Amino acid sequence: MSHEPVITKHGPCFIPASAPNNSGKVDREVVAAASRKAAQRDLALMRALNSATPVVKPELVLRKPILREDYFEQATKLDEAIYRRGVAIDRDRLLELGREWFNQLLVADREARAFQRVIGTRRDLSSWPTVYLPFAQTGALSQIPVPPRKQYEQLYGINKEIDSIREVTGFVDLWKFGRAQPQAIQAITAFHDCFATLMLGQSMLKRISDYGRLRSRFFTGGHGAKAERFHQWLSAVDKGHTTIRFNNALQAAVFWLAGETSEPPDLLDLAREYSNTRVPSKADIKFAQAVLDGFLLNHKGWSLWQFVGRRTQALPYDQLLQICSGRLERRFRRVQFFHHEVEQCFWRPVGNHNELDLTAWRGFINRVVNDLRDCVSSLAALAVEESGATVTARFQNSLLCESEPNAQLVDAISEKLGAAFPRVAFKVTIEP
Amino acid sequence: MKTLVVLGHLQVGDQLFKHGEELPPDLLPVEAINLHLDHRQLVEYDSNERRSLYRLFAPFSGAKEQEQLAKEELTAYTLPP
Repeated sequence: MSHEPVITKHGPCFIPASAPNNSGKVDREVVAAASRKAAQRDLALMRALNSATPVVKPELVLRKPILREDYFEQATKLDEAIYRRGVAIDRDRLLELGREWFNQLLVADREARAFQRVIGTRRDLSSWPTVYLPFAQTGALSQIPVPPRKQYEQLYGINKEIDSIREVTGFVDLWKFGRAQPQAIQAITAFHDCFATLMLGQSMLKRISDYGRLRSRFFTGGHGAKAERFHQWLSAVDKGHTTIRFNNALQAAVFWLAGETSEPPDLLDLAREYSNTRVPSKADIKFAQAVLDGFLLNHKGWSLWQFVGRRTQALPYDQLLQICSGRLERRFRRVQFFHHEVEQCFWRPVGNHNELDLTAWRGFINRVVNDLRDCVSSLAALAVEESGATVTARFQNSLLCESEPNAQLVDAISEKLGAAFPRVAFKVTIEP
Repeated sequence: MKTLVVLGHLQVGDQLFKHGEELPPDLLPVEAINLHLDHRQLVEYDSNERRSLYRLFAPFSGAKEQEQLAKEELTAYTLPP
């Protein structure tokens, strides 16, 4: 028997896809593919070596108001009582007011239709898609002052917020077209304000009970633009009502949270400073209020630009905003530091780096501040009830009471708020 | 339902309507409306194209017919229950 080993010879393991050429040179495509694979391997190695350092999230302990043990029970009971009472509305006066607002709506419609280049006869000014279309067709989208994200920003996922800021999503963002058609924008905004106010008034009219009372859960903590619009209908509320306003609720709540001890800003002084005038107009004061509120909620850059624009419904000058917010940051260091501390808790590792979770962060700040403002409003309502008056509607910024205006109410509210939020001054005013 | 819109200028009694303004639905009889439509002094749009403000706010305008608001509008602008 032969014991010679059987040796099998294998060919090369890498066989080029294309047929080997006789010259012995490798095809360019094969080289490119091999190069790509090598680059991917290197990139994966570098990513593995430079993985994100684990974020050390600081423990966030927020201040809490000093409340009585039965506060939540009392506040819930009072809200239920407010809902059951309802607001006394004079139906005839409401109808009369509605007719006045309807005439204003027709005037606003006529003025808006004067801009025929943008708004034709066919356009329904109350519908957002039909208003948006002519502006988009005339190139207004390209005149939004926010620059689009650069390629490297898109590649690395930087400044994602810019994309949403550049969007024009509804009547609330119509001012972003202000560079293209400023007068038409102003006219349509005025029309839409009238339209929304009338819709609220009409829904109020439909819901008045036979006893002349209007009941809604909105009267137990309502806020936002709708609450402001309700105040346009206040003259339809039966006589003997008083409005109590908390003018600086947001500022006081954030100052208290941050432990800011500096002198609170005077709105009129801020408006004078920003507008460089001795007697600032209503628009200047509104602008100053919007900038201050934006700073308190930690809006910066284009985010502040959007916040102020939505509040004032006018195109803000971005460089002026930078100067204004910079001054506020230098003046109220503790507020700045507080927001920085909160921000640290919302960084999360993404791939080989850390990113700020903007949605969660903004949501958290808004929720905390809203809860505090709601608490302020509830405490004030409880103080009013304890002093013998009757609260018929409770909004985040104001109360509606069935009583004659008197200074004792202000004292009772200030005392109650002072006990819950020590060393913070709330400005409480009474309007008949 | 149709929305009547003025083209150019139109005077009805003491009231003067400018270009693009809506004509109140119950202001003129059908014959007069048809005449104005034939003379291109009025144009009518379907309510899904341009809604009538008079019919949307019938309690305040005094219009006999009513037009419904969209669901999103009711949620966004009216008083919740």
